Amino acid sequence: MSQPLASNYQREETLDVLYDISQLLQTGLDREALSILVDLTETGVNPEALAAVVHELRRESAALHAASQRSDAAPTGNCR
Amino acid sequence: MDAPRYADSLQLAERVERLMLHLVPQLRVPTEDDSSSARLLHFSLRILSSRMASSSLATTPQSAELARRRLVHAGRASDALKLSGLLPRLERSAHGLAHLPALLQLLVALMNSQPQASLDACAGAALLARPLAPPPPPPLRVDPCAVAPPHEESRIAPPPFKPERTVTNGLSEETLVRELLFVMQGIDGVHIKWEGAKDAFVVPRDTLMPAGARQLVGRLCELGWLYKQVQAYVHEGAGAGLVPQSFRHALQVELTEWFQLIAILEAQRQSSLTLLQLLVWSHQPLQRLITLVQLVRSCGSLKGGAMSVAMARYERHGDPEVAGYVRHLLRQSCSPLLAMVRQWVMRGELLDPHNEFFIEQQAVPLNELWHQRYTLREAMLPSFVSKPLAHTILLVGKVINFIRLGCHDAEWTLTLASSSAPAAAPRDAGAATDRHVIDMPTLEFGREEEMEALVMRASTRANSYLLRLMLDKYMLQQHCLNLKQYLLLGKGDFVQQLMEHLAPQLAKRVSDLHRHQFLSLVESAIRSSASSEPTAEAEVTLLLEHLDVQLLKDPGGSGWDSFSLDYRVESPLSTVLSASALAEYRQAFTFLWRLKRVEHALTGVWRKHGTTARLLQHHFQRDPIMHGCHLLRNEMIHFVCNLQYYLKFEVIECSWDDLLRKLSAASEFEELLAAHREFMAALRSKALLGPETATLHETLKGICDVIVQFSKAQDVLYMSLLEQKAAARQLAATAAVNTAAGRWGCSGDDAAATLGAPRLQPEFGNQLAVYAAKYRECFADFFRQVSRHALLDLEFLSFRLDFNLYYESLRDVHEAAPGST
Repeated sequence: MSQPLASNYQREETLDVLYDISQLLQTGLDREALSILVDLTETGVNPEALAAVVHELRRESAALHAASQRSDAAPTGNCR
Repeated sequence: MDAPRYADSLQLAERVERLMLHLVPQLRVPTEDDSSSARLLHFSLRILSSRMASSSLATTPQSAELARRRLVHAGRASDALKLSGLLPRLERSAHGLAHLPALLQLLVALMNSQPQASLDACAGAALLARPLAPPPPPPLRVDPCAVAPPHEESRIAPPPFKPERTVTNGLSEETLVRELLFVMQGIDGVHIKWEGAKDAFVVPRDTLMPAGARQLVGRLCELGWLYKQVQAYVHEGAGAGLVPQSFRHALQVELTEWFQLIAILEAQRQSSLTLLQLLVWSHQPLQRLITLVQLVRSCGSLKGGAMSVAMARYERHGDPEVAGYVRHLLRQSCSPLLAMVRQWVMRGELLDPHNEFFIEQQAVPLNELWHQRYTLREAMLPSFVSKPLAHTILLVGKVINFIRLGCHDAEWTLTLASSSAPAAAPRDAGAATDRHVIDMPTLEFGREEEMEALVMRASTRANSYLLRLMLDKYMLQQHCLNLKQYLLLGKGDFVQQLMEHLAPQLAKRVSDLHRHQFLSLVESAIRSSASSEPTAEAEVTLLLEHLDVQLLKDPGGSGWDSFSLDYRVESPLSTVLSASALAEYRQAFTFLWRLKRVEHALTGVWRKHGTTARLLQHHFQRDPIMHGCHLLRNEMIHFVCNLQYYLKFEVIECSWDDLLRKLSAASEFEELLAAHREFMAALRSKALLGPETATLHETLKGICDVIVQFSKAQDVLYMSLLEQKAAARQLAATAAVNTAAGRWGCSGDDAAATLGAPRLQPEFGNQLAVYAAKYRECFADFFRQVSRHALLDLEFLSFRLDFNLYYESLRDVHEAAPGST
């Protein structure tokens, strides 16, 4: 980390608050994702771009999920 | 690329990969080809690098403000408050974070982007084909209970039952929901159609669908049926009227809200909407629609007040929510009625094109304005107006119209400014507008006591003005006094004058009489009896304007029977002194006039007696016939005087005193009318003019006739006596001349007969006996009736007539006689 936090404890506390805010705003992020995102912003990436990436990744995940379900439901379908 | 930059980008790539693996868990499972994850990573990195420099960074307060605003907009004000509390904590604890603003911006950008439980809709979409915009927050105010925020709902609700969503089981749930949304607007779907015969939306039996779904659809189809009912009422046009019209408007507003709900449901359907969700969310609107249909049914083709009564029945519903809802509709529907009440109470105007108001106007001439022009239409009495209040309202408008039309005071307007205000009222323009606001308070449904207060205030104002107008401008009291003094013969000197002036005329036959002669005679009687005070002239002028003479066209009778004074009044006085009241005055006048005439005749006889008695005193001192005459005459005079006394003091003056007291105490015009009515009623019953004393009145008439005949006979008697006396005197004079000439004083056979005392012819004695018997019989009859009459006041009369119980003893003898034989 380029700018390490003063202590682990302090980092945890900050994450707690951030997590609360994230819940309030209904971002749908869990602690793990939030932690990664905090690290990413610390590297100086543009937050809007980052938000777009999160959206895209979620969309991809959903698509994959649906695809897997469809293949579950119709195993003889397009899996061949 | 130098080393640190390279290291940075490596670190970046590593973190992005971590994020990717976290967010797309499927990639964690090692699959045969790794290309998709590599592609995704590459893609993410490209996004990050491409937009790196393009947009500006928001500061912490900016992001926070944006987040707060969005939260408030979504109706989560408490969450916005929580957020405001959290931010300082974050800033305190995160001093180690250099990029806090960026972090916040990120979170705000990710707001409301929960990963959906099922995003099948997007599954087929190409990667990055469209950015996933957060669904717009639904307007919650439409129906807070019915529509829960979709995102919360979808988080809480279990995933919809998936097995039914397949095509194999017939119609998919999605299709059904779409169809139902159409049905809810009363439109046929592809499968669910309206069947007129069954009066319902039905799914054809042969359509393949699960039984549970069929049941749900059946329940939801009720919404379509209910909607159609309401819609039909809104558009049909039957029951024209302002109240149905405003009710329709209220219904239209309700339907608009219903459409809003459908629009929200439709938006929700784009993401996901199950039949069960639809059923739950439409539960509350269903209840409302049921209430609406009940109202529509009960109103039918009613209108106006009757309709408000029909609706008000549902206001007493046990469920407070339904009751409140009905009250809301009722308030909107009744606003035209309240506007009518206001217009009527404040301006006296009836704006009722569809006959909905509880007051109606009859087509009667203006002089019947007070009694007949406005009537209560009881069928249209609204739920919020009690019957006494309705009467007061009717009265207020009537008073206003009476002032305008009856009293010719069209300029007058009702002002409700408090009575203490007039002194300070015309201060400035501001005060004037203030007064205007006070003058026209708007009435609102549900505030009955306010309306009542307004009505009462308007009533007091209008009535007091009308009273002032009647008593001051139109001098009602003066007219009443005139009636009493002249038609009820209250003014003795006038009556005396009139009697003397008219007596020669009235003895003629009716056919020889002319009204104009009487008019001049009446006027001269008035002028000669008027006092010499300066104010009297005005009174005389007023009197002459109104006093008139009426000659009844009764060809057989004499002038005495047909003559009557009359009093003419114009509107508005004619409302109080109505034609029927004046007719009663005339009737009373005829009666009193007859008594006066009898009295006049009797006193004439008595006067003649006075003059003749001196001349004939030597002859008739002890004559039994003359003595009988005196006794009978005195009896008659006693009777007539006491009857007149009774009428004048016990009846007229007492009632008059009452009338005066009530006139001055009256606060409403109606009280004024009632006071005069009571006066007339007292006069009618006590003065023997009413139908219940008709026989008494007839008997009295008989007595009067006997007295008049007796007076005439007496006249003739005295005339003959005087003639005999004169003849005797002449004879004596001739005899004296003859004697002086040295001849016989008398010559001829008959001389001896005429020379002595004047003799009473025996038929006078017979006549007297007949009259006496007739009179006593009539009187006994009258006295019997009077003393046995139920009316208390006649007791005074009988006491007066029989103060020494003479007649009573006579009656006892008379009644005992037939029993003993």
